[in-house]
Amino acid sequence: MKKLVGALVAFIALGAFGSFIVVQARHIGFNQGYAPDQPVAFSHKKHAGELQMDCQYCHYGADKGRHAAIPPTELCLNCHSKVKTGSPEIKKIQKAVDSGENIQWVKVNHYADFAYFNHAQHVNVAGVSCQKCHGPVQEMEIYYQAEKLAMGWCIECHRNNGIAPPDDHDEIVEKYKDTQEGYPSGARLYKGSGAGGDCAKCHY
Amino acid sequence: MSKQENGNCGTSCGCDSQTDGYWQDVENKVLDPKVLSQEFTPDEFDSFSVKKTRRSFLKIMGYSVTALPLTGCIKIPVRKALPYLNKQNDIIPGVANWYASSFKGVPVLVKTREGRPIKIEGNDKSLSTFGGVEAQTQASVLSLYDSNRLRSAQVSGKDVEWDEFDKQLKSQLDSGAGDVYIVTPSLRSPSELSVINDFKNKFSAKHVAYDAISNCGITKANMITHGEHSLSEFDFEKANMIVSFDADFLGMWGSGVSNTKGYVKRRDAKHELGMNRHYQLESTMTLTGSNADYRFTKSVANQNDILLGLLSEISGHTHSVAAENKEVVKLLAKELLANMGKSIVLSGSNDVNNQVIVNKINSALNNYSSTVFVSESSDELLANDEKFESFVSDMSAGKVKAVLFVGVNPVYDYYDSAKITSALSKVTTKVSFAMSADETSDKCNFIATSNHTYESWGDEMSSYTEVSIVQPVIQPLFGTRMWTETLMSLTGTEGSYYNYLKKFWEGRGISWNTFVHDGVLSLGERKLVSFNGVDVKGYAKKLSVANKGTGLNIVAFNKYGIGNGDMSNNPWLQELPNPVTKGTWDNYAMISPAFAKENSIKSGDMVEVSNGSHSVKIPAIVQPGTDKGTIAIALGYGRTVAGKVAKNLGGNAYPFVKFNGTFNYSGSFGTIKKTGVFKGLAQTQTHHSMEGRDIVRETTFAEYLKNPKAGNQVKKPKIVHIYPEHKKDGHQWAMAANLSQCTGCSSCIISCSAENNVPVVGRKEVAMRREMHWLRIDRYYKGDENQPEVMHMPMLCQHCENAPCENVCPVLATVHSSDGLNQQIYNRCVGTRYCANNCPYKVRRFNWFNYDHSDEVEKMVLNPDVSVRSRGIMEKCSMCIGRIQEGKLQAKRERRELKDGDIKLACQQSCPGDGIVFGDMNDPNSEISKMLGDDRNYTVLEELNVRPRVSYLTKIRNK
Repeated sequence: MKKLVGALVAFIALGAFGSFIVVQARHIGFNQGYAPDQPVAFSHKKHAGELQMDCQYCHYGADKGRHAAIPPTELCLNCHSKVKTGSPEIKKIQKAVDSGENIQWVKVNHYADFAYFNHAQHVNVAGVSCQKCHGPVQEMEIYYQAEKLAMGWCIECHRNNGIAPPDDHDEIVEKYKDTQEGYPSGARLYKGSGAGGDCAKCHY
Repeated sequence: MSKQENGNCGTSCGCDSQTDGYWQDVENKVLDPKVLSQEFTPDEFDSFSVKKTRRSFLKIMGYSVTALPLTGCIKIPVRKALPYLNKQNDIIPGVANWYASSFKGVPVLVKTREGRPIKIEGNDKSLSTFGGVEAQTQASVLSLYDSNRLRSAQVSGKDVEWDEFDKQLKSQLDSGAGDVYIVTPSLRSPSELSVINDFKNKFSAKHVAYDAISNCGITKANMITHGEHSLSEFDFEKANMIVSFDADFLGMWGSGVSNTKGYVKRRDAKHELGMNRHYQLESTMTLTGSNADYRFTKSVANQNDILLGLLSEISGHTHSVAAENKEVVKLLAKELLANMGKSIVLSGSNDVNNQVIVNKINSALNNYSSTVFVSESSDELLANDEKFESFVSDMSAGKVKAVLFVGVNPVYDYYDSAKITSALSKVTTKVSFAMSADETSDKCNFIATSNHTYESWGDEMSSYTEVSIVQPVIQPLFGTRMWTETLMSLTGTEGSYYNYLKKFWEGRGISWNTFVHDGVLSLGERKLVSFNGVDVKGYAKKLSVANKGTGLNIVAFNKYGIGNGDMSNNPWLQELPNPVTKGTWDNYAMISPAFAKENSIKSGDMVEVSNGSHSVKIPAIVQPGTDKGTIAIALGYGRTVAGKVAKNLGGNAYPFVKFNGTFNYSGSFGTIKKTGVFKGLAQTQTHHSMEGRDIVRETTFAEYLKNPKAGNQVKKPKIVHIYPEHKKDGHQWAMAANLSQCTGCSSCIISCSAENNVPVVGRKEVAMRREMHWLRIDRYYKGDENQPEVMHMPMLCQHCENAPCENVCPVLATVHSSDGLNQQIYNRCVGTRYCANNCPYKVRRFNWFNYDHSDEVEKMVLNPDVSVRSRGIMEKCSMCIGRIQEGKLQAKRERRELKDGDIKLACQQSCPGDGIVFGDMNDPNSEISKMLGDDRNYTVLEELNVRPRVSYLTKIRNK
């Protein structure tokens, strides 16, 4: 009897330990809330929030290609060759441009290498706002990773927002077919081309 | 294998397919249960000698359990993200830019990502290649990233700055007595010739054009019969009949790509002029010969005999033909005379006499200006073997003070390497313009390290009617310089070669921007010259005694992909299975099955081939369709000073070349003997028998005209369907390969590897059947092993609707997509390999290792959109899912629906035979829907009810 109890206790302990590991392991690699120090104290709150600059002024690739892209260092000087030139932070940028030794930003948003993500698909085609995935950037003094950027998180959004073509697909095609401006952005009317649940839509 | 003549297919599938004597390899021709059991090598599945005991299992388990929680303590790795300092307008990260350029006379478009060229595709605007490319062109991008390339200019083995280099070389050229020579390959470029002329004028230099694999016999013959030192061109689309003597015109001979484009148009049974009929007479099986309707295995001497016989039949010469060739001559003469002005006779020989007779026959058949063209050309452009010989003599005689080798490597590829080496020792100033160290640069005191083509400006004539731009697509990776600029700096010409080139073309009234944008420029109609009626009797007499000798005729041939050896340090090309032998990573002595049997030589036996003065030790390969008295050895191997891939690989066949006015590649006679060592071969296909199934279906043109379903009338197997059907909404991708138009050239394999980051595994792994190519070309033989019929079949993941791989995967790593593709998900795969085991087509590939991509230079070639797979993962054709996604996204961004033809697969794009069609089978007007509805359409192993999405059209032979 004693042996049986011992075995049972050992079994439960092992099970608890195992489930603890599994639960913990699920969080490995997801860095929600990650807010590293950057070499230049750039404030999104200032630029995107208070000054209301368009995100794509700096992140020029977001509607064109796979990467939103980090702004070229010289772009900062478009304004900062006149504005706040005395700031020590701006001086770092000026120095980088002058010396050719570029600023090494710390990458915040990172998803797995084996997943393919395309910004243009979401920004340009689907008309998703930047904040949907990147959080309230306009309020971030220090930029942080707002969402989990994990597969479950992607899928959840895709499931909840119905990426399949809308019911009035054929009418919309008919209506906009020959118009100059083409189909409206975000109309999601490309039959069969919507991002479904197929693995290889992202993993290839 | 199975030699069942006209019987049931021998399986329990219930079909009654006609097998008609197909077989695949000499050793496997006879059904032998021992060979059958060797379908897998024992190595393939057991090469790790880890002892598997209960204790070691527990050890590993214990380690894993304790290690797992530790991974939770790992800190987030700090990843750096570097922006551009100053971004150029046309670069957007993640968006590819395409630039027109040209490589070895093939106009190409280069895909660059963030400034790195990663993929080559054909330029559709070209009217000579029509967007086709061949294997070397495809692989050229990897040569750019060859880490064995030299990093800077060198003087006497020491790196120097270019200014210093110029100063030293100039003072050497200016001082001393003697001739200055500049040696180049055949030039395709009018502006390069102009730079060379500037150099010639400045230093009173002499220019010699030298090709390792020379076509000088043709240019000389054309000089005799047409008065022009130029190469013949052909319009294969107009030819009803082609008679080719040893000319591998679909492969490495002449403009393979544009020849193939024209040729395959007439392999389409629906062409308004009907199918062409192709006769090939050759001493060894070539890619071209494997496509012939009628192929005759004939020694070089017999080919000459037949050629003279044809001359007699067609244009009144008297020559008595050997008994064994009489029938062939009659047959060919009759057909040629019935197709006056609509045939092509061509020969791959570099013998002037041979080519003069060919010209005479073409003239007698009224083929000139109809299917065969000789145009005006510049004397200096093309290689002249005689001039090179006298240059070597001049060097030996000490008359030469300086020599500049541009893009040539004669110390390796001249037939008498010792002679040229000793001759070179008498020259004070030797300059090599090599990209990486080679045998010639090794003997030179100056190395003016040159740029790769994709780092250079230039122009190339892709034909006599078209010129293409060579545009740099990347800054020079190393401290190299365009050879043209080095010459310009020596002559003191101001400015860059870019300006020189621009001025050159603008001076001819050409819009520079349009030229650079389009990549090609039409030069207008050919300036034709006509046959001058020269008396050919003397040449015929010389030909009748040519190529006769005692012993075996040793033929040095131009191997597809490797060519003259200048790109042999390219691992993609080394691992590319030869279209005929399927051999990789080696050259070998090709012998006939009959000879092999008599001398009991097996494939893989090391043999010593000798012509008395030179011998090589290489493995033998028993190749059906080889003449019994011939040994064929590929050129381009046996490099002694080369990068790590090519160095000491195979044996050098150049010393077998003889000089008799021109370089004669079949002039050696000698012996072969076994060394007693067995090396084995790294072939990608050794067994793969059809096992009596009708995998390749074929018919004849006559049968097809009677009934388009001919050859495809197989009784439908009785099928019981137990799975629910897949939904077929939206796009449903499908692919079809037209077996009549697939020449087997294998350009698609390299295209696929480049697109999908398919690793190179090396000789040892290929020998263990672990090659990683997602796409292979299966080659089957049929009939007489002396003159077999050959068929090529691209075999890749068939994207089955009822995929057997999907049912057996325990982790759902291979699943079906809503658009009908079979997907392999790397990050799910745990490597059980059940799927590969259950795949009836054996198209799945397993990563046995983490294949090396650590080379900082080489890894720049990787396609950033496709995962690099790691060890323990299964992979296979994804139907270029990256390209499908990109095509769809492009349509969406342009707010339009996807059109047929928007998406082209990598294999499809590169196919010079236009044999692959891909598209949406739900679109009734798409090209693929038409292919699927064709009477010739069939799927492989239909009886398994796996319902492949890849289908084939029966092969039609014009018999």
